[in-house]
Amino acid sequence: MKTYFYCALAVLLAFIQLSFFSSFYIFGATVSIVLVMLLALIITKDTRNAYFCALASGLVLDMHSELFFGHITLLLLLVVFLSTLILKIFLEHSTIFAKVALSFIATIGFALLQYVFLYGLHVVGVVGLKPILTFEGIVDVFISAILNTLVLFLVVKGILFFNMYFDKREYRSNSFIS
Amino acid sequence: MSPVNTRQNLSKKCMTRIGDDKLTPLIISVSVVVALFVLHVVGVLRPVESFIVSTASPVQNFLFVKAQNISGSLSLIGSLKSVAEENTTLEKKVGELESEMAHLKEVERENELLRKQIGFAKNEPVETIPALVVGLDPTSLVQSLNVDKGVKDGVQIGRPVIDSSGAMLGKIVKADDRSSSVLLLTDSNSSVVGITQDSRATGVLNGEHGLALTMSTIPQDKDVKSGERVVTAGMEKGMPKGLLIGEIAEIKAHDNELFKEAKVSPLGDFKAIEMVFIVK
Repeated sequence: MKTYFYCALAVLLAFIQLSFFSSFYIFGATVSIVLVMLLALIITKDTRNAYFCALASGLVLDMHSELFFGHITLLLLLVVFLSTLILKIFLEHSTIFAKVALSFIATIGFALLQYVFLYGLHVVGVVGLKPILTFEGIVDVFISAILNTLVLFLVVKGILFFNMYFDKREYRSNSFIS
Repeated sequence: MSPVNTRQNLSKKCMTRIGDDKLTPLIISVSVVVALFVLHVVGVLRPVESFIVSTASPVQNFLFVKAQNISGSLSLIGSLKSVAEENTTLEKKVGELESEMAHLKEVERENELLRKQIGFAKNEPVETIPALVVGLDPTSLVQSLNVDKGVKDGVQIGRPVIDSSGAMLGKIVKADDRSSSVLLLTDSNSSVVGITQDSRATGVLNGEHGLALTMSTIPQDKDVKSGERVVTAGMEKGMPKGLLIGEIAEIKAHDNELFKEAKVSPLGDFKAIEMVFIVK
């Protein structure tokens, strides 16, 4: 039930990302609400749902992308995997709000991975369009990383509330069955 | 313990491990992506994708317009100081344009008369398909936007896309049944052949990192000036002649080189596009 709910939310957020946040500029940069949601799930130790949400939202984003179908989904899955590893190795014993800083690394990492991945595909000849990383683009990624971290801080609180709500519901239904 | 029991225990252990494995969702997800990629390449997914995109496009357009409005309001608050100055400049420009328009009307009438006398065919007006913008490319590496009209509405790949003022915004690069993608002129992968209106110099216009345009291969003997307008030369297939692209902002010329280069400021408003017109 929880997985379905999060997947539906991820799809909805992907559409909002495409139509609203992609053209809503704050200091020239945009908030990546999908990435924020995935990181929030990782931080709240719901990695399983993070992978499924990456799949659901990534496919919606890929449908609207000009480049190679599936590349956003694969990169989102890779970011979830790497973020989980970083969290486990370096931030295991930190407070939940210290872990929010992971968003900064993940946003920059996602942009970098996307560039390297697509540039590689362009060199091989799979992708026709050549991805270009400019100075302005790099500055935007950094501002975007700060914005994502701020939004994540608020979202983590929301996720904790939802987790508590679903766990309570599951507990109630289990105790009713038994 | 019998060998059968040991084997059963081992297989049970393995099953538990696989079930608990945190990588299982990752493996499942990657497999789904690979399977969908194959289906996408084959074309089986096309109707599903088309259905999803067309169903979501009204909501997407609503959100897109809202984001543009909020973003516009925010930037307006930030630039309140320069509004008065900008207003004076624009008023001055309106006056200049009004007198230019009156002059052009006279020229147009004269042109029509001369064409009739020579027996030239009348210029057909450009037919367009209005389309709503439903979103931008999710990757910041490509400057493109998605619109809600596709092949079934008469959209063809390679056709130019203009805004309400007639300025060219880009070209159609992907067309599905009910949606298409427009590669903006400012994208580094975009290229179009243009001609300057006064000096009649042709050159290839390429996007410059999403910010401006560069017009290259301009012959050295052509006296191109700043502020001169650049329009499409109509040399490519499906590209009409005379679509407004931009204005020459800066000229880079070296005597020892065969060609000149110029920076062109596009006239289309790339940051506040809600509706576009696809040339048929």
